[in-house]
Amino acid sequence: MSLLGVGSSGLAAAYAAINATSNNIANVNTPGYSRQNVVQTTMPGQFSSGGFFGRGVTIESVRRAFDAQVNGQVQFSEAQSAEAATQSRLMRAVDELFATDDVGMGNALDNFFSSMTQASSRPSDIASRAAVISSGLELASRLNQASSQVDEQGRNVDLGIRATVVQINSLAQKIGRLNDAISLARGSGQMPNDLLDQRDEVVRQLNTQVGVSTLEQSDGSLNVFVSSGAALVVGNTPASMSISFDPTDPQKQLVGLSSANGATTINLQLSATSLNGGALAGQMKFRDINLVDAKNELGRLATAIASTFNAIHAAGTNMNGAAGQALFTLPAPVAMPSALNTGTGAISVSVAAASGLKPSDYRIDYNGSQYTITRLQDGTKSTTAALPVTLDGIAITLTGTPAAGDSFQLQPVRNAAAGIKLAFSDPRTLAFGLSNASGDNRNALALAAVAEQVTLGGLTFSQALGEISAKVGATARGLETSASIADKLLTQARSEQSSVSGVNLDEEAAKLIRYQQAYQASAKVIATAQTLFQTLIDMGR
Amino acid sequence: MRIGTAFAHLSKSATIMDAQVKMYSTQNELATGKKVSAPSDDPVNASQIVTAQASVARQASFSTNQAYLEGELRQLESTLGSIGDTISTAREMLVAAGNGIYNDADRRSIANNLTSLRAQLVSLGNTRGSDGQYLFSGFQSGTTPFSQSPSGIVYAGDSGTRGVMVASGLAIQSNADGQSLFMQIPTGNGTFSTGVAATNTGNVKIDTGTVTSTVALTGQNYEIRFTGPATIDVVNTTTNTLVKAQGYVTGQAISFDGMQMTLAGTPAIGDKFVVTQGQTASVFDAIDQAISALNTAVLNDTERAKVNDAVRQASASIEQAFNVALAKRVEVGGRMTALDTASRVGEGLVFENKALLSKLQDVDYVEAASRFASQQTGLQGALAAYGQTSKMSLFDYLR
Repeated sequence: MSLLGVGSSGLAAAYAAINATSNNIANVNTPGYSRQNVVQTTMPGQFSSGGFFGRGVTIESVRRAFDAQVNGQVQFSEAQSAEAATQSRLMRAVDELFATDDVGMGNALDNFFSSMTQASSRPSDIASRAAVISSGLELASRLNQASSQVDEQGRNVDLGIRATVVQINSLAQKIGRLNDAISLARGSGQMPNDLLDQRDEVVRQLNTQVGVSTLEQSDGSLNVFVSSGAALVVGNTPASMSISFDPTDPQKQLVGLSSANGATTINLQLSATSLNGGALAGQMKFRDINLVDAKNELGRLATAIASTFNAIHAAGTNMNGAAGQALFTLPAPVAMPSALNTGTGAISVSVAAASGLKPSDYRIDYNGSQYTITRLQDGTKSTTAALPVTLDGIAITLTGTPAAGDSFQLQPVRNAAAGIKLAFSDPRTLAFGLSNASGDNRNALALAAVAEQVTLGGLTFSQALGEISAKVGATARGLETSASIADKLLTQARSEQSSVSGVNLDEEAAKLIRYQQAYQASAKVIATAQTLFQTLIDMGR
Repeated sequence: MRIGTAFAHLSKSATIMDAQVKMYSTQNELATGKKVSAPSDDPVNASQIVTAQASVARQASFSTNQAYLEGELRQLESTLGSIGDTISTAREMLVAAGNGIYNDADRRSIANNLTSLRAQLVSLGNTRGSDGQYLFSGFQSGTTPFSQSPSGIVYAGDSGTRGVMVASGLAIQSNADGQSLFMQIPTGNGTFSTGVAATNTGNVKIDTGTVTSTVALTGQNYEIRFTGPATIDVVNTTTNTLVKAQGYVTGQAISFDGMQMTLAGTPAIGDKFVVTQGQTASVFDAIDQAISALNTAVLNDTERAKVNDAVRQASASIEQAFNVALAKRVEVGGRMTALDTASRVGEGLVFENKALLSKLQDVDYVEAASRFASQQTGLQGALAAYGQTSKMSLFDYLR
């Protein structure tokens, strides 16, 4: 091998290295880019009687600085952080609902009690009665607003879920295409570093939407799974997520995953608890747990307020001499049969004792011989062989005949806060007396004393509202904390990844100098070879 | 360890943003003066804040009620004072009427005065409170309680007691019922009353009597009958039994069944004196009785004895009415004391709850200001560090 060959191999290697370094510099801000190195080795030496003489350098490959374990940590942290951040961000709106300022629900409740207390002193004063009516309207509308804000939040989350699903599907398709390209490129025997980086980046983005686990195949393609084993991408075939509606609760939007398994399509229902990380998990957990809890808590409060005041009010006599009617009206508790039911059974629910109510929905499953009633808030189950039954302050009655396998969804209090209304607006209709005497205020005193009355689970209404606030606050705070922890872990993982794969400009500058010098030296070798050759030629002259 | 240039920029700017977020929240605290706005700011105390706010609001409504009640009670007390004065004046006139020197014309003039006092009492009984409601008509607060009917003054109210809620579980009565004030005055000395029978022909008079033993009282009615010029029978007319037969000496006390009374004068055989227990009458009827007696011309001792007896009986009833009005006034005074206690306790509660709310919600300005200063220093440091480090590049040194 000639000196020229050695020199030009060095020139080529240095050029390649400068090229890789330039590429690193160019991609310093490219998300998901891994620093690339030219792997160069010496060419095997040429044997001569004097021993082996080196033949220069050869470029083996271009390798990306990559650590699968560190990358896995980043992917996982992304999913956890996105879930926690999403749920925490959504929860903030619910938290704000319970703000303890002068437009809060506590304030409306206090005003209602205050106007009642003041009106009780002068039962025949129309202005004081009108104040009770207006603060009662205010209380009802504050509860309505709070509930509708929760609903609004639920609708926004549903829209968010749809957007997330669209994004997940598009990312899954991208991964499928990249899998295809990578397995093709792998045929060359070299690593398609940029495609791998791109795919890792897409998987990272996917993780921010939904937590996934991945399994690399021998051909270089990556299989992607959501929750426990539901495949989102297999080889170059992406599955697709879709939105459907719950057969027992048509208001509720479900997320399904349909994947092709040969000729058959497998449909899988994804639930908030089965998902592990990602914005989708955060959205679904918020919607299915936090929002439902908030609505049921508000609903229970509204139901208890209405039934307590109604009972007392009905015992009184109003200014027109008529018996007191209901003070508040509530929407009827909801009981929905599943759309999949085959029997004729219909369930109806009513409030039997407001003080025993739980802020929860229920599901009834009939297996042909008995009914299993599940309190959805905490999963408590109870069974009964026959209906009607009274449970947690609600009476459940059945008409018709259910078939085995039928199920029903009960929402005894869920819509109460949304629908609570003051039953009338005529101040004269307030039943303040036990007789129709204009100065009789006995019933008004009883109504005013509700402020101190222990109703909901041993608490007064103010205390119950305080308890709800505390619960919401603790949940919001807890989510904030886990979001901040997840974010710290993510930053740590990213920092580690950046340490392994990131581009450091100073390092690249140094490399640039190093390879430039190598290039210059190799060029000098060629120049020397030329000089040597010239010397030989000159000798022959 | 390698620092990725892009990541280093990102993490440095994240540090700066973090510092800014913290400063913003401190700034917000300083501007609003509140460290808690949403429950998540302090979940542990969120419930306490709601209940303390409720308690403050509740006390505010009680305080409105206390002010209202105080006005009502003041008016009630002063009205009861006027009623007492009016009754007292009537009583003094009747005492004067018992004066033997007064002639028919004098008595008629007293009767006229009594008539106007009676009208005054009716008008006082029909006093309205600050909100136009009658003070003495019970629950019938829109109905004039006392009005004239052919049979005298009638009461149109009821005995309803209107409570005003001035503290948790405490309602203090704001009105007084006219029934017990004017219409159900115990007659006589408050336990029994004595009277001269209309058929008497002698001039024996009887006094109002006194109770000597409350345990011996039977609650039944009696008659004292002259069986001779110096002998009397005491007959229980409820059980129709003879209680005792005894001699009569003018001016000497007669005692039976826990009661004692004195007869004086010259009897005619068959003269009777009735003793009744537990009867009530309206103060207006008593005054009417006195007026009609005073308007009666007296021709002889027998008539004089009857007229004087009527005046005496009316006088005794009016005395009782005075006691009733006085007792009511004392009772209203007691309510005012209770109100005063309730309002002071309420003020204490408001103070405590406001202090608690302030502790839970309000910013400690000194702490927050120093926190703000240290955050500011931190941010300045982060900015300076970013400026310095981002300027450093090997490329600058390669020329």
